[in-house]
Amino acid sequence: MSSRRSHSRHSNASRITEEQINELVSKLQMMLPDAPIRRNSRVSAKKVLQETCSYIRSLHQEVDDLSERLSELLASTETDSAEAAILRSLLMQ
Amino acid sequence: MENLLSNASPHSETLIEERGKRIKLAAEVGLARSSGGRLWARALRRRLHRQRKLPQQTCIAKNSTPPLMKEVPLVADVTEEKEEVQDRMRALQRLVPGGEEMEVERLFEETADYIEALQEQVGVMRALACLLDGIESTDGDKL
Repeated sequence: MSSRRSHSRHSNASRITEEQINELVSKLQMMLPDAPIRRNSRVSAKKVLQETCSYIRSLHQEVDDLSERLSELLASTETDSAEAAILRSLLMQ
Repeated sequence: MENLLSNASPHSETLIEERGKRIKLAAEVGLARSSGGRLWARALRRRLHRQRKLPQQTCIAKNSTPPLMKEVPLVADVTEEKEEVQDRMRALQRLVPGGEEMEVERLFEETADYIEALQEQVGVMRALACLLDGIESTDGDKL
């Protein structure tokens, strides 16, 4: 009887165990803002992933908000002032 | 960057919006250039290049790692909870540039690095805003 494996192109290396996921997730957990509080309690992989996604979204949003704010602040900066010169040298890096 | 400080009708709403977009783009370009080797940075550069926002051609080497969870079930045995984990992984893949081409372990690594880079970027922008704000509020004290 031939033992043809229908999923032979997907080796076991591409399947990951729950244990591995949990380990990776706990490392990711340390990147989140309230990591120090959480370190001792075990948070589910699902929750950590969800929070990671929210966190990234909130960072994206913050970049958007800051861009807008910077634009407004720049509007009130005189072009030929000393402050503008400082800004230019900062931005030109 | 020079034109960020141009003075043409400085207070019109659309100009402020326009400039805001350019600032955001500058931030993205900065982000894309900051971590050369990272997959997410390369994906971001590719995206910016496609949108013609990035002037120079960068080396586009497509990785041969299999797409993360398109056909292959992620975990050895799939239960409902694992499905939910998988769903969230997919969401993460979409948030991290290039994520859809990454396998799990790499995705997590890249995510951590991407988050760090975003945090730095936010920090820089906040500092800049404080600087400008400070200048604003001390303007009246100048001789």
